[in-house]
Amino acid sequence: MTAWLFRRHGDAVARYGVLVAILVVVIVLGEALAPATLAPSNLATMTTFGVPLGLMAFGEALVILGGGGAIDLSIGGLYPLAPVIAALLMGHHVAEWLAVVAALGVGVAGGIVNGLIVVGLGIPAIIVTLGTLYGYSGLAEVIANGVNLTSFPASFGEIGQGTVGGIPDQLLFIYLPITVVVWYIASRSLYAYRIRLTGTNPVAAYLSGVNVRSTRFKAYVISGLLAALAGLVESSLIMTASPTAGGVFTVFVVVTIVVLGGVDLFGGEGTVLGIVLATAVLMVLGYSFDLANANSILETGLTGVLLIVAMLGRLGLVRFRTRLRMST
Amino acid sequence: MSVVTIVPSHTGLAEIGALLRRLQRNYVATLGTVEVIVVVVMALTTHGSFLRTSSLRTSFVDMAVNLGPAVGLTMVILTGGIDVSVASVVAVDASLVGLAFEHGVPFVLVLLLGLLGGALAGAMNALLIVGGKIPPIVATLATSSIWLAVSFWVLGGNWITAIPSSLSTITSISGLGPLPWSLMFVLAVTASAAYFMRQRPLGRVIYAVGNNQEAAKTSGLPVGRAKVMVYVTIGLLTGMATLLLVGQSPVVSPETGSNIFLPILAAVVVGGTSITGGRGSILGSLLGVVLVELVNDAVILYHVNPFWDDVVLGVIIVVAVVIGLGSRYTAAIGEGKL
Amino acid sequence: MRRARWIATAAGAATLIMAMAPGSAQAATRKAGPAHSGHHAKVSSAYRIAFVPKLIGIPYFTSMEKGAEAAAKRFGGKFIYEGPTTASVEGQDEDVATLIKEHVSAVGVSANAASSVCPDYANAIKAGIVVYASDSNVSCKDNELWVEQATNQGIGNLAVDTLAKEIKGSGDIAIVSAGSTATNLDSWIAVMKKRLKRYPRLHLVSVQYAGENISQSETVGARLIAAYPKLKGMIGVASTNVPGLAEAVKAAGDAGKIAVTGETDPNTIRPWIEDGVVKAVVLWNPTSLGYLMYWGVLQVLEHHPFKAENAVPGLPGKYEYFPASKTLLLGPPLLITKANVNLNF
Repeated sequence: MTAWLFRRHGDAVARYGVLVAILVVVIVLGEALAPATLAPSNLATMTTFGVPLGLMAFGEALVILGGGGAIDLSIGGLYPLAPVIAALLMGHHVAEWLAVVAALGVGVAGGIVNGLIVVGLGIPAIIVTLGTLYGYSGLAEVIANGVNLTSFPASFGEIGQGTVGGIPDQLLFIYLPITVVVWYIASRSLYAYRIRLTGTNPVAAYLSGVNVRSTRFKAYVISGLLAALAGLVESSLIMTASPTAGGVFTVFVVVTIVVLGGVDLFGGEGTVLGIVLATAVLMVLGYSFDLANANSILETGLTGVLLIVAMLGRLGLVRFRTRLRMST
Repeated sequence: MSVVTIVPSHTGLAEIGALLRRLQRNYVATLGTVEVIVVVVMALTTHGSFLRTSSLRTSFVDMAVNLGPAVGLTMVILTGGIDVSVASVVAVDASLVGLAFEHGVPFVLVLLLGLLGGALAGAMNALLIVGGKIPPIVATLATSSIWLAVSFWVLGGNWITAIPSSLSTITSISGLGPLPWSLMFVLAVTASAAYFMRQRPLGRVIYAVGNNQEAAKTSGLPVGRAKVMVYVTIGLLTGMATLLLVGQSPVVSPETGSNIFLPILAAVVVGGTSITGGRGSILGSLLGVVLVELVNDAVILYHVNPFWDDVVLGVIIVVAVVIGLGSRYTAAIGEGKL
Repeated sequence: MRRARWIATAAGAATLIMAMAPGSAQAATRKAGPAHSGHHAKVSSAYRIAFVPKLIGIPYFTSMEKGAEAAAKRFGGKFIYEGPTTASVEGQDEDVATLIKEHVSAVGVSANAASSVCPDYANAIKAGIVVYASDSNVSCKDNELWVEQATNQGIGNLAVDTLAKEIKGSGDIAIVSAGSTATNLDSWIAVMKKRLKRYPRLHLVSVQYAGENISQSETVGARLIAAYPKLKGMIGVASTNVPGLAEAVKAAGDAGKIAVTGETDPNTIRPWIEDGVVKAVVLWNPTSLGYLMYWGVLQVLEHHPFKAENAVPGLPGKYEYFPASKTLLLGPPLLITKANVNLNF
């Protein structure tokens, strides 16, 4: 049976097998802890916890896909910076749409700075984005003067809090469309071909005429934009821009999602479906533990265990598959 | 930037470029020189408050805490790895130390327990990375979550305050003038680590692994042993930092050590260690630790709005790597190494 | 023990939700909402009162938890204590949103950000859930009860007066707080600044933020001592800041020269009061605050109006209620010195 599965759907099993198994376990565990975890109304609330992290995970995954040990730590700084800018502008009676565009622009600008230094000067991403993580979150604190900003008009809450037929707007109008766009960018477009080749083998990419630098650069810009969007969605949910939000812990969670989702940290390998599934795993886990009034630290610990299980399981599946191939 | 200003104005651009390149080649020396200048400036412009014994001692204790894990992290990064679990290892190890004190375990035994706890945590990372073949960032991210949960669970919503004051006396109060014994001890450890990395065969293996793991393996070098060694070492040194930290503020809470990681990583990278492995030095990281401490001191000594703290540190990291490492990496790309 | 508790809670939640969710849980919730609170009005043992602290894992909130648990045992009902592991605005919001979905009888917070739970509170009220705050207030218009430990004036003034007395009303002083975004800490700092005007020879030279973190407070304290040679006193605003500042003074060898005070609990500050580095700190009894909070929420749930002064079974004295601000007040702040540092909270 397993052998058959492997022969027919080897790729999919190796890629998603462990993840789907974990998702099933988490759902069963969740239902045992707090029945009706997956009732529609719970699902609606649950997704609002997953959307910001899921958005940032897409951007992070694109950066990592580009290879060369790339990573974007600065999302933990753009996540609070964008809503702080938006709140500041709206507080000065700038039109809502303009403030949102400006805040997204800050995300893009942040991504451009990262990209220019990393790709342009060829300095390792982890150092540069560590610096800009400090820089962006520090700026958020300076601009907000350290306090929470609440100068959002009521209509700003629509993105984060509104629902259509019980389905959150942020899921319907933000996460789903962006998932499709990211799927297209990362799997179907010419850019997908470029970034995957760059991630797997930059020299081969260069030789086949791919502009390696510009390909990697674009990933940082997208990541910055998505981090800013994530920050705006969250602040629209809580109608508060907190300069101390995000930070390195948020980055850790995002990287956990990306890794759990099967993105290869050395570049080139990873799928949007994997990231969506991994986002769902952490979301269901967190929500059902909350619903069961469990100590939230258990969730943190369990995430660590899941990460190890997923990595070992995936390595095991790959080995099993290779053995199977050799035996036939 | 101060580098540029010391160049006479009539010098040509080409000569400035040449000077920059020379400085980049001697990055560690440049960093050291800049720090000496900064220290002199701070000593002269803060009306003596920077040099006040108690102020210096606090800075030295801070450095003693950060230096151990920074040395360990340097070794880890030299192999091309990373350890993001440092903060959580401090939390869980501090809980262990606190519980031991609370249950009246003899003082010296507690110290050993603290070191052992850190080393064991490091061994667990090594097991996952070398035995389980899990990428270092994933393995240490996972253990980081697990240890944090364990420390919350062990402490159960309380803090442990039953820390004997003799620990604080040893770690942060007694010493030679402003120089605490703890820093001298950590400096001795750092010196031995530097000697080990330069002179001992296994130290050279660590560099070799980071430069080209496959080549190191095929030439029969003990790659696995070198990797196990670096992760256990950073664990042990984090255990040492835990004891210093608990001595510095004798209360154990799950937040103990929670903000130790980023400054340490910043110190290592500003110290010139290449994140892709194979290049860097213990001495550089020592200077990195000093620089991070100077930034933190300066922000308060010059009465800067505290919110600028992070911005300043972020800008310094970026400027330091751009000036110090820019051309090196550009060259590496040219050679096809990245 | 903790495990046993959440398994029991899970089982409780299981039966409740199963009973309420035959088909779509959302529809059931909507129907069951108001009926729920009406139906159980007299059976307080069915109430489930939830409280989300700023963060879990610190003794101050653990004491509040203990107090509320004691009240639950005495008056009936179930107390649910759940919170983020760091003082995170989003983390707190997620806990509140989940508790509302779980359809507890009442949900309250010690706010990390005054406004962040307001959208949730609006949803809760629609679902017939009572909302409240204690320890750190929310800014939501529809909040139904604010259980205050002591007035901001009382706390801020006492801290400044205590410090002024110790340093004879003159010298440079600094304030170290946990976070610049916490409502209660910010209001106390505002009060302190105002009160300082009474002491023309006290100069506030710096306000710093060190997080809910003792070692960070120690570091910040040490740097303040270095930066301001004429520093005579420091006020720690959150319970985690005071021990850090005290340790900084001790390490600098300035015990007796630089005074440290602020808001913290006896269990935390005891070692430094005993060795004389800290003379006095300001607080209230967090266990009593938790107890009073649980009792107060029960009154709202059972539609028992508060009087101007209320007797609470199990607590000594009377407790004031101010209808305009819906405030239930624990009382004047307590000065903790060597004499009463053995209080266990």
